[in-house]
Amino acid sequence: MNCEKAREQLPLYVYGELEFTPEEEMEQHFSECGECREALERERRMHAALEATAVSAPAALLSECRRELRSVIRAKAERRPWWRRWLPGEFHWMQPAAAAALLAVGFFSARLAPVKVGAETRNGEVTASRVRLIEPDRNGAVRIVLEETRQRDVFGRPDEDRVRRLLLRAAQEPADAGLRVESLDLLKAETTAREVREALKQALLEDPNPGVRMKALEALKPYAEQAEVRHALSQVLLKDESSGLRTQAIDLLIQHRTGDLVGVLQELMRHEENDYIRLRTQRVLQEMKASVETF
Amino acid sequence: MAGRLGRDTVSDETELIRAAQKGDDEAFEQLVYAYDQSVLRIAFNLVRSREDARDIYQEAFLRVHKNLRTFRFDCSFHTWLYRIVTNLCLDHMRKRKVRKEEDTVVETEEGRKDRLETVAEKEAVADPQRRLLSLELKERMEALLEGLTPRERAVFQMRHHEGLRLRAIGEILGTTEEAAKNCLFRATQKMRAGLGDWI
Ligand SMILES: [Zn+2]
Repeated sequence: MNCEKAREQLPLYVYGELEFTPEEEMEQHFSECGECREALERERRMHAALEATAVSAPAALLSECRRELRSVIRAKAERRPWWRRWLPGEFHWMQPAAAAALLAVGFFSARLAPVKVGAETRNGEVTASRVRLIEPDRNGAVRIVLEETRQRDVFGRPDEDRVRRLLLRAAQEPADAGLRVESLDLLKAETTAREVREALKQALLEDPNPGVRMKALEALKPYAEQAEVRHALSQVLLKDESSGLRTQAIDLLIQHRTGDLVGVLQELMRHEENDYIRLRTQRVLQEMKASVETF
Repeated sequence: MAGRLGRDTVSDETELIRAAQKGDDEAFEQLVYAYDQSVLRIAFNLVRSREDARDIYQEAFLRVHKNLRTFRFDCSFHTWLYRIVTNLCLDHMRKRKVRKEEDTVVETEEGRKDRLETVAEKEAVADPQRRLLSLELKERMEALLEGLTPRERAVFQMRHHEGLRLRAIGEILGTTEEAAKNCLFRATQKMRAGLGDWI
């Protein structure tokens, strides 16, 4: 491999898009040629800088989009003939009369089934239904089990127990990060409740969405002195992949310079690659007269 | 939990698609939630405007909803979806290139500003680390990105920020791996030349 060829393939090498053999040849060439090694470093620096041009969509935008899409699709569904709306696709070939009969069976059997009547379902209206089971019997009749989803509005203030319970549930809704952000935002004012702080800590450490984790971290700010919260913040600092979150975590942790902080920061220096965080860590360790050595 | 479906859930995805094809809107919604974060990220990065990204999100998923019945599993669902999204973004970027001069200025509280500038500012506040990157360099890079052709920009985005392989990108753009490779080549060359001694 010569330099000209190496430079030509450099971008693909950095993107990991070369085949096995050319990649080997490139690595061989880098070990022999200082100039191409420099070019490689330059290309990598450019990649790192380009990384910073990526913008992440605001978390609230996602939930806005989802809400909007849902309402448009629902409006479309309402324009469909009624028997199509109520029945899953495999029954669409049916004529309205047959569909009505099927529905009647469904509702009838649903009425026979024991229905828990409590505050939870009393005012519930059926908004969707799907067939779960069809069981023909010997006499030519059929048993059909419908699963119905009810939609219910609950109004109240976040400091009411039942509202808070629902918000805590929404904060763990796996399919909707926007919903999780919104509920954490409302729970932020309820952090005197232990269960809320637990939920926030869990979101901070385990939520897959960085926007949600950031929201949880903001809510926990007033508790940055508490041992448990400090422990969670240290975990974020050492393990979270978002440099934005790590930056926030270090800023909070170093406001209170407790003894255990030194160990965390020294461990951090061993692997942290973000310049800003390294710089802050170094400075705090120096101020605390602790060793900055990483070995 | 969130994000793209893993390899082991492919059969679940097939089931979801089949259910959605039969008109099950709940299954459709699950399908949307598996992919919409990446869809929004691609759109937002390519068009750099909240409102336009939102329009593209809606339009893309409504097209999927409308045409899902005709989806025959000839390619993966995600390739099909990304093809719809990138085509919408490309159309949008081409139109914007034409009306660029009169239209990138937006009204803000502090008077008239360039649309890109306002996005960049909001982002800078959101991520403290980014404040460190010299503002000049950042502006320079933003300008260079704007200078790429819409297609170069799309390839660049998908390879660099979405981590898609060139073969997949080629498929999404309805072209060959080779063509996608050339596109990425030109994009990095332009960026490198434009950055000169900055890096
Ligand atoms: Zn060389």
